[in-house]
Amino acid sequence: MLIHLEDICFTYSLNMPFETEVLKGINLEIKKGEFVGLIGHTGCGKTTLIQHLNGLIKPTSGKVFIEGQDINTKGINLKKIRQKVGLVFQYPENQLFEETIYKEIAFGPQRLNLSEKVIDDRVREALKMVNLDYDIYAERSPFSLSGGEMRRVALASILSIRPKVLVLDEPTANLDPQSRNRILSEIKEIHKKYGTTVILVSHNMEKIAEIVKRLLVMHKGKIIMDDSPVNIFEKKSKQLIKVGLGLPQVTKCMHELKSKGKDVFTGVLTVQDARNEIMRKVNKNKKKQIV
Amino acid sequence: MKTLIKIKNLSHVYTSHNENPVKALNNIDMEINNGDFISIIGSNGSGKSTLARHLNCLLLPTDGDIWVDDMNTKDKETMWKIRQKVGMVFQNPDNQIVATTVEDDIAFGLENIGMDEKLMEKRVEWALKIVEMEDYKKSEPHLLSGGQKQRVAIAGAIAMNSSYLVLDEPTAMLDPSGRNEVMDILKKLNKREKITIIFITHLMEEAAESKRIVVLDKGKIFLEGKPEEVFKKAELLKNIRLDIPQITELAIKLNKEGLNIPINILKVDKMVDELCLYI
Repeated sequence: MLIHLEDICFTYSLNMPFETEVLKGINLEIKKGEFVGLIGHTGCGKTTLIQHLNGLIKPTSGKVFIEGQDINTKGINLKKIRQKVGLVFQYPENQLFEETIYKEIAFGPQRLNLSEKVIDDRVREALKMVNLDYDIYAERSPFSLSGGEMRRVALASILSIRPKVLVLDEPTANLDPQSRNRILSEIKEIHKKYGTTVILVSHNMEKIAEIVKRLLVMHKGKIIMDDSPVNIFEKKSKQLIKVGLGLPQVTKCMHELKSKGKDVFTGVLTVQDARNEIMRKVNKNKKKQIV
Repeated sequence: MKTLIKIKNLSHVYTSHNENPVKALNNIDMEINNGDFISIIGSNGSGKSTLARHLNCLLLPTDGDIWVDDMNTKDKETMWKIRQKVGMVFQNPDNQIVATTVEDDIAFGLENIGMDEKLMEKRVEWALKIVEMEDYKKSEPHLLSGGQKQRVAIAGAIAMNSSYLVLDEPTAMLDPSGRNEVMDILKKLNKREKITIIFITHLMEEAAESKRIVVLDKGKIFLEGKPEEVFKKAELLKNIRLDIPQITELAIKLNKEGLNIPINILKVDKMVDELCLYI
């Protein structure tokens, strides 16, 4: 098991007047090569949870295992853990600091005492992964880029460490629709091509459900659903709305049709899915009429 | 309908010493009428925020003019009057809250203009009621949810008796329920209090709720019209890196399959009604 969380509880400001229990007994297993979405209402504990995955936060109680290793035992080399689990924070472009994009992306590998040659390879590879042309971008300042490009450079600077697990906290917040689609398809591609395990955190259902294979829904510090997006959209739509998460428009449309007595499948994730389902139904009705 | 904000030949150039000047706005002409609810959409870097910041003198035109109720934004004497007329709400709720309780935060602007205390109390009460936050009067802002914080920010702006509210991606950092809260309040403000809303967003489903959409691309007005008209032009919008609402996209796809569904549908319930004719 790549990631194994055992009964994680976390309380901010423990034993203080503003003590807040953020995580309440999280049990979770993620296998190598999975593509997982983690969604939930603001304040449900998503960000706190992922910060446990590379030891940025230590649980108040419970254990975090990465490749079988309890990462909060004494003498553990957290640097190694953080090399395995790469965390891309919200608005990662705020963390850019180097003079050139090359130096920015080389920063991580340099800390790993790799040779110049290997570092150079990794920078090139990382830039390629996020579809930025080396010759055009390497020597430019990261601060002269557009919002979407800056975010991709920030992502590349984590990829250059070659993490086994890539955790992304709201990677598409504030991007225009096209940059949003682009960064998501790059993440998908990385997952496919390099077998990287990906955990995608978001409160935006629409796009996430479309690309992940497994969806975790958090509410008030607990994981309340853990299933495929199709099953969740089909069977747990009411509960999703109840915990402050909306349904994509097309999914809502199918549910409303169903509530009007139409026999349609409601677990649709994309516009294309909805189109297919509606056409299937229309054609079936046509046949009936002919008969 | 009376035109209240008039933008004429507006251009804005950002200059910094070590990079090439960037023309963020290029010859914009626009009129905003009383009671409008305008969404401004456009890809990153299209000039949306630059335009918004011109409306209350946070930025001044490099070229061209803007008049708010016949006051030119370049005129230093009327600058504060314009700022009182045009309230601003930004994206990150945490960056715009200044006081330690909700009511103090809303009173902050009023105190600055030296309003009488009794009147001030009344205005704070009124503003809180409109944004449905009266129960949180004494709460500490940092304990509120994102949607609640944005509602407090909106209350702070309208307490100043603003006639216009400019919101720069106020929902970008909120989850779906927070977004709905903010949208509901904005619609109410527009309908009942007759406040003119200028709303910047990246979410097409939200833009679909407004009365008029202005699409910016590379600092110019690319398209303008009612949501039903704008979203009909899916191909054009995709060319400038924008999207259309899912439901409109579905309508277009079904049309191609031969179903006679209007391609300018924006709302789920309307689509459901249309589909019931077929299945």
